[in-house]
Amino acid sequence: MIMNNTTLTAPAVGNSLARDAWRRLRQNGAATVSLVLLAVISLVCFVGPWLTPWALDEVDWNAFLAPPSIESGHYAGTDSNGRDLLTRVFYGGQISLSVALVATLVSLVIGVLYGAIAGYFGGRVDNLMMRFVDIMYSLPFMFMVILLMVVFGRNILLIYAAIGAVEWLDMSRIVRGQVLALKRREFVEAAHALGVSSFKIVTRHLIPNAIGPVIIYVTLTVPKVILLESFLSFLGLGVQEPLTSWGVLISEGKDMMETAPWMLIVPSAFLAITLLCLNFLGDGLRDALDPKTR
Amino acid sequence: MSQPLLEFDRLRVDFDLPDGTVTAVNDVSFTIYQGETLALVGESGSGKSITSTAAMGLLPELARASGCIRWHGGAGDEDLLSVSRQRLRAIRGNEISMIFQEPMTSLNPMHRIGRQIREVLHKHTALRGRSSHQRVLELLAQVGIPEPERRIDSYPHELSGGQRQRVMIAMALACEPKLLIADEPTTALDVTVQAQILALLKDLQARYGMAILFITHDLGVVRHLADSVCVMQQGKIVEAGKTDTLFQSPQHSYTQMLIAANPSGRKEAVPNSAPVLLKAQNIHVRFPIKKRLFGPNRYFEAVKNIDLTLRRGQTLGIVGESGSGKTTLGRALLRLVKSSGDICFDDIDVARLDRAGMRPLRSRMQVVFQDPFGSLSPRMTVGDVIGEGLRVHQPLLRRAERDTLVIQALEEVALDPAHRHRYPHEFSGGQRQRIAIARALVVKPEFLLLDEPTSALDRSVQMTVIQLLRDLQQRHGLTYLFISHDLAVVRALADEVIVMRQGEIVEQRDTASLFNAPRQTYTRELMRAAFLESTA
Repeated sequence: MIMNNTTLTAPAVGNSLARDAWRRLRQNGAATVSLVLLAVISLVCFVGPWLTPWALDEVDWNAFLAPPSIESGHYAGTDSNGRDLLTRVFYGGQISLSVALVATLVSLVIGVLYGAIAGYFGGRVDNLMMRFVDIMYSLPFMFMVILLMVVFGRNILLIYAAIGAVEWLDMSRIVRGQVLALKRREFVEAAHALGVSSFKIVTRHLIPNAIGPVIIYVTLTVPKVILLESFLSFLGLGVQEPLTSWGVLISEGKDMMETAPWMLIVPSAFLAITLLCLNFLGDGLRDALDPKTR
Repeated sequence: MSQPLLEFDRLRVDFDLPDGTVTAVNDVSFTIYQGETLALVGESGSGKSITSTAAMGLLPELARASGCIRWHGGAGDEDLLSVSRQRLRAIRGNEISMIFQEPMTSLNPMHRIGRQIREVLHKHTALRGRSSHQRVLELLAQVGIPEPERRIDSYPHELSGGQRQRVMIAMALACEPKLLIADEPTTALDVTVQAQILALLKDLQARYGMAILFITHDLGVVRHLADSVCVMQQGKIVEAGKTDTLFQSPQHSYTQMLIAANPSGRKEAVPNSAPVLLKAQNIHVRFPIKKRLFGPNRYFEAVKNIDLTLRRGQTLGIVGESGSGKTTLGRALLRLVKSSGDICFDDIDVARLDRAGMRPLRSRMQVVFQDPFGSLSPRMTVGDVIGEGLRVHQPLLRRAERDTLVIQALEEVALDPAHRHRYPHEFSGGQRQRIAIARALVVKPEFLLLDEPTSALDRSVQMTVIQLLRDLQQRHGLTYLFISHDLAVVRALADEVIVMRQGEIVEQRDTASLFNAPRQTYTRELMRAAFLESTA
């Protein structure tokens, strides 16, 4: 098997893990399609509002709860206030996608670094850092959000911050566990023996080898974040009318399921496709970053 | 000769992998007779374990087996490849049972050992309650577990490796099988424990009159234990015969190579006038067993006040069984674990240096580890792995210059430099060990700590790595600290040897006199166990 491998992965010059991973990712059909679809969805959400004939909060007095139709220009129908659904889905997508992106990035960066440092240094440092995480866990999420609102006033950025500030806790625990197991491996010890600095050991040796579970967890975090945001909005702590998000649109659509099913179907479809793509992309990334899979 | 018990008839096992079919076992035929011990010998990947799992019906899902495995131990003749699942379950553990290599993982850590043995009895016999309890005690006594009444309620982690293997044997023997398949049962054990387990197997075989199919890579063990031998190479049996005749006049070149693959040659001792490179005094290492946030920790003393001196060009061997502290001592000398005591490297007091102070010295003292699979980061290319030391110690090198040095290092260890863009998993164990050596060499060290660098390799690969280490030592005047449990390898490489036990030095002398006339009882015991053939 070893021999087969070597003949098949004839190397280009100057490979690095990132470049190899990119090459492997493109060979993965499902992941590539997902990546393209995600790009298309994001593009549509940010450009689309200019292309639809209606504005976000524009009321069409002739069409309340109108079903989708080409002639009226309401391609996805309207809601109970006569506002164009497609336009609202695009705006909602802007909010949902950026919350997902920012909150996940925040949790990724803080969580991975925090967990890797705690796991790598171990002992008392680990003990103190993880007890802090425990304390953060024990604080109710809503309490923290409300606290932030009180201190800084209501702001869409705060939602990002609040969600990110909660999600990194799980991430740090996952990474810490991985690092604890990895740092006993001999390749880390060999790096010590070479005099590689702690920072380089963490970034070059530990984090790349812990990346598999991290990516899986990221793909699970994104839907969680999108749903959390809609929950906050539902409580009046998140985005406010006329602004909207996919979560909010879906929860409105759910109430009108029988009379106006498009109000549920359209935003749900966008959300579902996005999450599906993220899952495929996550699996593809995990495999691409592991040189053992081809 | 007695009745045939198990016949392999043109057994072939194919694996359907995504990138084609791999034939693991190819046209293998041999017969085990009642009460005999047959050894299946081969290096890793030779298909010896697959052959035995085929007989137990335990092949992985991807495998396709053809041919015939005739079992004469049941009511009539049966083909184990085609019998029903129920029948197979009735045979396993009852008529044929198996013991494995890893005594640490082949017992369930959540159950008491008594319960695990009783499970076999409940499955295959009518013994229940008191009588099954009695039988378990009997079995534990037979396999030499002290105080069976107390040990029957132990969990696996409370037993030593050797004791766990004894429990596995007790489980295998519970139903008095006609055939015992032993898959490398002593490979993970220390040599003295290995000798005990082999003696136990011989003893039990005589008592139960069972046949043993013994799978191993270790020819010393084969010679000691087996009646007949089949030598496997790449899925085929290349030679078979009675043990004595096979060892005396091996016909096939592969068998000849295996038998000859014993570390040979000796190292010339360096003169006493050679300058001292490394001098350590009172090295003491302890690990906390129980850490508490507050209050005192409890400690385990791994290395106890050891002194040693290494002269330039010398190879100092450290031998000992697992837990003797030899690895910890090596790491303490390189300041990879915390220790107390004085360490002088080339007249620099390294024990007082901090991390940053150590860094410039790191390039002068390097290390090669045991596990060629664990010692290379799986997500770095070989070129990056080897180049990392250069990034640290010669940060001003340009990329092309670094690449040249990496190529030189790969050539030095006889690997194709074109392979530097590949990842470690694409290489075999021996090649990986060469990569690890190249990583150490590229920073031009004077002192190399070799921590069991050959233990995870096949004998024939070991020979080439040993030769490489010898050549490198001559070419660069390197000083080695060679840690191993393998006395044969140490004898071939070292000019002075330290025998360690429980963190202390038992004996320390030049290689020739230590091996010719060991003074301490423990050293003698270790040698007797290591060179089984001399006492057989």
